[in-house]
Amino acid sequence: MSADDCFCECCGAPLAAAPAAHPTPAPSEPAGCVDCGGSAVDPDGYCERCGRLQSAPTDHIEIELEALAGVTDKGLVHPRNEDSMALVELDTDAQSFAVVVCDGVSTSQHADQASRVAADAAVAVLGKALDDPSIDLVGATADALATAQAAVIALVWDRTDALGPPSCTYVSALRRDGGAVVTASIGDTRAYWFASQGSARLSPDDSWAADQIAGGVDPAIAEADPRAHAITHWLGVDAPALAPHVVTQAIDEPGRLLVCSDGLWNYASTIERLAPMVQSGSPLDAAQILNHFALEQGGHDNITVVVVTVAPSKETSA
Amino acid sequence: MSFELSVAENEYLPADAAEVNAIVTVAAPATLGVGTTAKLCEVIVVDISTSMQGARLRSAREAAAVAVDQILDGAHFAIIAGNHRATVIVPMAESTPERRTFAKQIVGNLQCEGGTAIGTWLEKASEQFALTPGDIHHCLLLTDGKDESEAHNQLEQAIASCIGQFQCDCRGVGTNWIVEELRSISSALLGTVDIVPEPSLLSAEFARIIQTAMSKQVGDVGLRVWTPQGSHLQYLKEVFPAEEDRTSMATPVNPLTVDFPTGAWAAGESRDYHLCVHVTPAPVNEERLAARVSIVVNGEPTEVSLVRARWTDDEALSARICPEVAHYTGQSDLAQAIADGLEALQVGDQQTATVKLGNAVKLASDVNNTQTLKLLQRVVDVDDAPTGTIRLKSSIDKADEMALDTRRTVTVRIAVKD
Repeated sequence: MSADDCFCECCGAPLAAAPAAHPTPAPSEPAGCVDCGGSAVDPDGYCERCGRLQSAPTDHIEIELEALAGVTDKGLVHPRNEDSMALVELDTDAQSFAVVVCDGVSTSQHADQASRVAADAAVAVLGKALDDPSIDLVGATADALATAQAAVIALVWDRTDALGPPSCTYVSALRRDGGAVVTASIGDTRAYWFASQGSARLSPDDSWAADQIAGGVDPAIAEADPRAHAITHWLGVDAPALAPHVVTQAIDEPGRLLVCSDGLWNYASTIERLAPMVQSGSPLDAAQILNHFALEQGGHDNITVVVVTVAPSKETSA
Repeated sequence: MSFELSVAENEYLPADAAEVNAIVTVAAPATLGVGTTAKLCEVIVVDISTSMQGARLRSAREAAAVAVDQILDGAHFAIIAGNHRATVIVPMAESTPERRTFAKQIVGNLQCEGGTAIGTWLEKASEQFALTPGDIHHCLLLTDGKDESEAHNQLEQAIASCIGQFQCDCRGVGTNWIVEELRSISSALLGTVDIVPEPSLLSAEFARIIQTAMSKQVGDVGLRVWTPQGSHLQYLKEVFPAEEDRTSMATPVNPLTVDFPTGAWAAGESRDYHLCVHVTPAPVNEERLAARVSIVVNGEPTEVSLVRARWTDDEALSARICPEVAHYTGQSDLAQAIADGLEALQVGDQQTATVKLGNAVKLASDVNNTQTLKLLQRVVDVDDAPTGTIRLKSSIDKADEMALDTRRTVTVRIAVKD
């Protein structure tokens, strides 16, 4: 992987509109296999001598822009990070920004690539809407989702493999010129809005439990079922018809937006439990605290957390 | 055309566990492209020792003629008459209608004389194969007796010299031949062994064997296995369509990689292999590649599948048993239980025979191998198959006992639940 590739994968914003504020993560020099000291790693990430799966650049990534920051981490149990995030900010105070978080389905082939290509493809489309007032945000949100779906479908996969075709969940958030935040979600990656008055979860889950609860089953019973977290919608060639949950959240007061994968909310899913951590320090502080919290709780899944400090429009507040 | 590979395993291991098991399924493409027609060479060896006199010889003449009729135009073939010597009665040449008519006249006049020297026959077959280069070399060998007219180690040496030269299907007619003798040939030469209890069944058996041989389109297919440094490849067994341990056939490619021969393949053919590797455990929640398996066709590696090991503290993950691994482990135990039971029968240990064959009946029932269960029922009276409750028959037909011995390693695939 070249330094250019690394930059691209880490910031996820191959955009002309991308501001220079992106940090360039230093490509880490391979220090040799942790197990046998061997230097050759095969394309699947295994040491060519002792077979040990090597730590990947995607195992832990932190991105800090001005008013938004993200942390993605492979957690403590999964061998790879199959979550991906992409974020872009046009200004320094999140008047115009886009965020995408995707979680590769672990029972699908190339789940890490599925989430990567989906997030990259989507943020490229969303980014174009940031400085072009002629583009409708809800329309751009739908276009980004369709582009992500096409990117996942384009991945090569093996029909004879017991694992299914490449698949991932999806959540995006888009804001321009201090207006409302438009989110869209498929699967169980989530967006939350935290403010002193109108905190809200912006993305219903497409999960077995959510379907049961919608059908009248006691949430406590549905959530305790082993099937609770089975997702009912996703991106991929075998996905059911795409039915994203699109939500427009007006920004009338300062607050914070959280976009995250289930590796976080498995341990704290309510606004009450999340709020103190989300509101801590800078966006990067909050993202690190949330990531650390999920690891402390067991880190059973990949963890991705993006936190945005969102202020009302400068024009209305001025 | 490309072969397909798939791996079934439970990659999750408890902390400090070292043994990794996987079932690797190899499938040849359903249709092989134009220009891949391999050159086939066939040698038929017919026993003409004195004991063949009578019905056996008459049936062997007919069966050899039927076999000749199955050989495709353009293939090459030779016929060897075997007794204490090996005589080439039809030398290796291209198959044409005229050549086949000539060959049928020759086998129609076969006469009996002399003893049995199977190692000598194999060496003569090898000489005939050497006369014409081909992609697929196949031999059909028929005997009715024991290898007794040559030096004690001649057969063993002949087999060793023929490994990699040709594949050999062995058939024994009647019950005076030795199962282990023919099995030692068929195992080493990637073939099959079976009993033909009645001479009248020979023609149909020969026709089937030659048709199968003529259906092969790709020769020299290898299974390449990389295992990590510090690991030990415990075994590689073919487990479908029959159990054959291939571990000792490994040829080193580099210090971490070996090739196993699989012989020739027909279009659409599919086989399963059980790979067992001991690896150095990695810490919990870490992963190691336990094996990288690929198919080598004409020296070119294609189609790679990975066998992974992931260590976990989660017992729900590590305790899960891979159904395919369990299925073939059960059939391996079945073949062994039959071997142990038959050995006990031969030394008159009825008690051990009852225990072992009872266990075999239970295992055959467990893995739903109805063919093997039927063979067992000709040797024992089954009171209750699922529990393995049986009684030994008061008199056992020698042919039934030998059929059970030769076919005990024939497996069935796991039942597909759709």
